[in-house]
Amino acid sequence: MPQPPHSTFSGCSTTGSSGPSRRNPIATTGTSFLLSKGHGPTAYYAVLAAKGFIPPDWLDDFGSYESPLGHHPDRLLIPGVEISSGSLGHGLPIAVGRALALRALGSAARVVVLIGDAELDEGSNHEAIAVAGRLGLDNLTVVAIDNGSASHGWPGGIARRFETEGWVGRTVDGHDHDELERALSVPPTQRGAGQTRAKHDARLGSARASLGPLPKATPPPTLGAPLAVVARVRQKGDH
Amino acid sequence: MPTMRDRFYAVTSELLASDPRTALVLADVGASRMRTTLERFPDRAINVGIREQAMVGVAAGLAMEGFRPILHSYAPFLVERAFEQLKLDLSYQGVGAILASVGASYDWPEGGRTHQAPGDIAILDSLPDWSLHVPGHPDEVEMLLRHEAKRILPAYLRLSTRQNERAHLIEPGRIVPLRSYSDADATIIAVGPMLDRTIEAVRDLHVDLFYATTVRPLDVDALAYIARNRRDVVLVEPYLEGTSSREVTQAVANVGHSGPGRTDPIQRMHADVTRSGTRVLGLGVPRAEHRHYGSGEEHDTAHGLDTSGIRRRIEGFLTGTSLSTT
Repeated sequence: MPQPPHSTFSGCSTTGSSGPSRRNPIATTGTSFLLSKGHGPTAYYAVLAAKGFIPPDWLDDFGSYESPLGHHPDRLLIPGVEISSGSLGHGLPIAVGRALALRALGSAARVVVLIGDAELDEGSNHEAIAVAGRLGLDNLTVVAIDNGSASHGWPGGIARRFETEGWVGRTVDGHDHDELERALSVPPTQRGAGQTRAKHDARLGSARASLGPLPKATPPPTLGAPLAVVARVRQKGDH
Repeated sequence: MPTMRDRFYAVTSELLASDPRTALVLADVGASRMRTTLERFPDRAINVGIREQAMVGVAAGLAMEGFRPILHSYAPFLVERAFEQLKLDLSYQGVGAILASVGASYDWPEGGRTHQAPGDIAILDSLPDWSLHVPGHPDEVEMLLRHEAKRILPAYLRLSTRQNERAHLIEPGRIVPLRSYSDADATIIAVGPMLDRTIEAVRDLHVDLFYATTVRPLDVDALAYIARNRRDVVLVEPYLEGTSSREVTQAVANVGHSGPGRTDPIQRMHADVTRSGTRVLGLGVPRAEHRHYGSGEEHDTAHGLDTSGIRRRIEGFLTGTSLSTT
């Protein structure tokens, strides 16, 4: 499969010659991390600095006029940041597109998107959850931080919303790093990876009408289940 | 007559087959017409169902990995329903896609306001770096689509069932002068499907006639010509009236002041008067809700956008008399 060129048309504008060189996390880690709930990104920036994506001294004037580090991250200003976020409900649909792209390119890379339980209120997430489940994107992982801030809650639990749509769901104590690591490491093979369309639809109990025999062309991608890890953490205060 | 939509489906299928960088994201509209392509390229031709926010977000993700996604739906669902996705998932992320809409301002008047988007160009004009194309013929659709397929910036193609009898030799981003006089009374710019009736309306008037299929960015050379000649300008646009008036007034303003403008209050109500005295009349679809069904031609007449309406309003503008719609 030919590799299309990278297509961002507005380059990083502030890094200059003193800027960091590790612009592409997927090349260095095999994982794309999309911070969908972009508010409170200080921990994110600290990790980017610790991992060498940005110089640590960038952290000092966070939010100032000349700083690349805003109160929501901007992917065109900060190396290693994969999406510009701030408005809720945008990261997961974009992550679905990236997972589809990586699958089409034959890449083994994985897309991880972090959302919040209140962010899940935004309907755009539910569009993306359904699409990702049906399209069998086993290279996609959602981490849903549940600090109980959704105004109307999620009766029956957050994981169930994903499982109904064909995802594999895990609910863990978000303060327990071992538990988190185990949940995040459920391999695609344990999520039905490599299934044909028919098997995948049967697994979902889908009433989707058969499309009939395919014309000779691109072989259809094999399908598995995306992974949703619900990380329960201490309740957030009023915000 | 073959439609712009037919041609869009044909050329898009061909682009998917010939260029592995091309991707297609649908939200059910067009999925049955594109079925063979969706089945043939299941990895990069995707129907997400009736989910316009996901359609745009998914396209943005594909674009971030280097694909050139083509999106398609009715104009209100493609442009207005998921507008924040266009603003943030495409423009703000610094990635592009090709959006091809159907339905235009009132291609299906019986469908009511839900399927009408006279404001599509105006709302997209609030975003930076977009190319907005309003073709007037299937051949022009093909030309503009093939042009955009090779690019990476965001682009919008406004397809319509209303079209001109024949295609013109257009160039993306350029206004085509169909006729011009050194002493013309005014410059008329007809956009896309408005051309044929505008030709008819101004047949015996001593005016320049220009044809535009790319309205953003609007051809700076053509605008410079207008500014230089300090001619009155009439824009005949198939969408919200006045959408491109600002482009003209700004171009003229940039040329500088050359005396008092014409300040008749009635004219000012309906037309922008620039500081140099150039007046700009924007004909198009009025903002008011128009609660009628019927045919597109009937709506044209109601809005003064049929041949005689355009004629009457241009004449009134040039002679300084009536400027009303009917």
